[in-house]
Amino acid sequence: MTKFLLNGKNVEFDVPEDTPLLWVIREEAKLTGTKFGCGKGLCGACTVHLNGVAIRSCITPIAAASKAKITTIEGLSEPGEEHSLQTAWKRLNVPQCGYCQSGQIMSAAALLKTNANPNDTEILEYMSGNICRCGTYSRIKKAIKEAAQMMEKK
Amino acid sequence: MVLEITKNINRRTFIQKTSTAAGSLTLALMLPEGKKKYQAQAQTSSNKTNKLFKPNAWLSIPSIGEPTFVIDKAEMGQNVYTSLATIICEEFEYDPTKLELKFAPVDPDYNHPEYGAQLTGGSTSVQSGWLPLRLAGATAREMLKKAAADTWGVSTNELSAKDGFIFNKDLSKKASYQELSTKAAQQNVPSIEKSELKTPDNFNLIGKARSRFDASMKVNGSAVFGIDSLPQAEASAVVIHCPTFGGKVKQIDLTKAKNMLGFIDAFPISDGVAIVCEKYWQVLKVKDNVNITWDYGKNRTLTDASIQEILEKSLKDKGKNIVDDGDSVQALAATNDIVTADYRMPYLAHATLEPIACSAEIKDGECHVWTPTQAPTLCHYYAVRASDLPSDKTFIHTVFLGGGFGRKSYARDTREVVEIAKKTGKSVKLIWTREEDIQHDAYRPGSLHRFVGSVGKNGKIESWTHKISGPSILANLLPDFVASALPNFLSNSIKDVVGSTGQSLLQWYGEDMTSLDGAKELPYTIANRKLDYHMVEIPIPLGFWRSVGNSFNGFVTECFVDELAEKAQKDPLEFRLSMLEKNSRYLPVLEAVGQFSNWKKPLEANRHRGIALHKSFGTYVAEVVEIYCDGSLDSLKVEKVYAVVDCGIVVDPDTVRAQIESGIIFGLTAALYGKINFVDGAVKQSNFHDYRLLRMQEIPEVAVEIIHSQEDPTGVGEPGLPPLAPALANAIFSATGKRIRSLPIFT
Repeated sequence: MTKFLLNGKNVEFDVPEDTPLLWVIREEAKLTGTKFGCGKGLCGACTVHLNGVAIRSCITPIAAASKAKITTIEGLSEPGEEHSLQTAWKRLNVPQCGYCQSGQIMSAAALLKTNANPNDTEILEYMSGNICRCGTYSRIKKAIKEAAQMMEKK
Repeated sequence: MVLEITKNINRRTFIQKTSTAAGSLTLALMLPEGKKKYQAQAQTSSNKTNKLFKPNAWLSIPSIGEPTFVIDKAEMGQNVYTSLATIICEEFEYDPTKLELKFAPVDPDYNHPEYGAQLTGGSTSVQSGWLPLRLAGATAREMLKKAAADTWGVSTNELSAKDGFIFNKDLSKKASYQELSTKAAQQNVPSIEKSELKTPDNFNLIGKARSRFDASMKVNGSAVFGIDSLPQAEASAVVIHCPTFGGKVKQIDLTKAKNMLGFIDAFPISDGVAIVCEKYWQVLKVKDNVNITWDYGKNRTLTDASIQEILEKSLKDKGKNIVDDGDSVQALAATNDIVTADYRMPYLAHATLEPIACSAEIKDGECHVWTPTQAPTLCHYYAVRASDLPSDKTFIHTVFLGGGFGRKSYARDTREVVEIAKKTGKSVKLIWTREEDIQHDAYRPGSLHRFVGSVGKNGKIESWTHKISGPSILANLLPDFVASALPNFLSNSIKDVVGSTGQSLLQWYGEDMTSLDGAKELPYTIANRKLDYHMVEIPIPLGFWRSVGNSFNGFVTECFVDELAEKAQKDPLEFRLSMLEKNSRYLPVLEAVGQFSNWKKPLEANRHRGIALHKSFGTYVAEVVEIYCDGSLDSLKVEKVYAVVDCGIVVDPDTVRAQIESGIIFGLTAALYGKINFVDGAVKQSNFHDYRLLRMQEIPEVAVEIIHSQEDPTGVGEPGLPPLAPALANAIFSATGKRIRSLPIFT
């Protein structure tokens, strides 16, 4: 039995310790905003926060989440509210197919936690693990900067 | 009450019931079955989209709540969700952000007017919806006006419609669409003519940039993709396909697997071996413990080299002549100064970020499939055959696509998921691994192009011969596409025969427009031009890949034009401009990209640029690529791309920009890294480590300029792609003096 805090709620799952966190989130906790893209930690579609740090949940065993605080896209903001990144994402029409965007936003949110005002190089470096097949990268970059400004004003 | 296509009630009956019970106006029921299509058709016109006009399929207006707009195209990022809703609301006079949006069920009412089936592709969604949706919106509006006129005892001429209300002449009375819906349902469907529609200067909605209607759900994780469908599924599955194409399963050893946690079953299906567990995380473990012995079949000897051999050999055959203008043979014989070049294009996978994923349930004599598809009709065909249930008991529910790019017009996974649901008796979700997705795609075919050309004394292209050797995309897809479009009363065996006969006919005829797109029509006036197509058969499944034939023909033609510009010792832009007709839509696009990119202004040291011009799917695009390169390809950095696009009337300028940007990044990914290799009959690449996709730190700045136009709109999902690779290759030539004649640039 592995226990952890998922989007602020205590949860426990009786699955083998090596079960990838991604599938626990999707199939056991029924939160489907976190996506499966490669299963090898190569594309970032499965990005969630473990104690505030962005991780690739498809290659993270549930054992690593034990007693930790896990945040998914569903828990990024309080219910009924919106993270500045989500506001900026919408304003700049970032998503196209949208499949990678949960992971992109979760990576960006982790970046802004440690670096409130990242420059271009810092953004590119941090976001390089997230693939967008629709090629929305330039808008993602802009949206991160815009969200950083919004958060500064708040 | 808002219309809901539920799984338990036949669609037509349900609509009927809904309209009677709730008194709602449902255009689908305005006319008796059979008669309605004729009455509802627009006036006879040569326009293809006109004759299939069925206004009744798209809108329904309830007495309480927001109208529903049924979207009959797949939303795969190209933003039909917003564009099509905007188009219909322009005439319907309603705020498109308020509409309830639903994806269409399978019904001939939603068939693509040119494809004869429900299919999203060819960058045609806005173009094919442009007239029918505006007519549908206008029809609904006029019926509501008539209802108000009857109520108020005035003439419809005195009434106006705005934002969901009908107003009387002095605006002293108004009635909402909802209030009027019951009465409107009793009106005759009027015949609206194209000439009665608004002209562009009167558009209120079309032409404005707006927030995507699906943006919220795509930033908070609530959008439902194939992988998210049917969350209550009783089982999860993967399909392992034979590594070689056409191979079959010989034996399945379940000794280890059968005692593993969650294991349900593993068994052969049409295209491989299905492995089924309660949960997908169990599937991922179990699959490595299922020991499958394959009969690799006759394609095991297939390699990159054997494919090249087939392509080379076919060029010695006669081929099928496609274009023969002037006398290219004589023109070439008349000069000693010819340019020759062979170009080789690789096979490519789509690599949508959502791997193949769909779900199915067979229950109470009905089969339901939830799938992110571009081809609902084809899915329906597979589901009917695999479930063995009647056509009207089989339902396809389209969900959001985690990327399409043509991959999801190939729908074998529907057959797989239904076969699994049937065999196990459980509702099931099928998710392919990334490895299966890359190794069992419907690929963009490789091809070989042989050019001979010459430049005349006037400094223009004098002669041009182009031979294309490659497998036919269409021939590959034809059997199932044809079979799926046939009437339901025909037996499966008849459908099979007709499908394969269609394929044989195409192969015998030797022409496939999908493989010739972008080579048949060139922007330039060339007096002596010949195009031959050498269709070959290679046992690798093929599919439409973003921009289809244009993806390779755009590259080879625009690179060879550059080679001839070099021969003519002319500036590549001037050379191209000199060969364009004065009235052509190519000309302003090319001129604009020259200005936009400051083409004439010299660049700093080690900075170079290249240019290309290409029309695909009716949209004209010119691109200039600026690179940094010190002469060695190792130093290559793609810095900036300027794009100018003429896609006619623009429905949403930000969507046009977004799609052109997307096509450019997709094209750049392929140009730099895209290649599928074949070893011992199998695909070598397996995941993103060896099938590389562009990442954020590698992308250039992209600037898009849109030409103002009053022409009917054409698509933008694909046309941004074809000019990118040749413009890049031409820039590299400027830096290195070496032509890029095969892709990808980095191997």
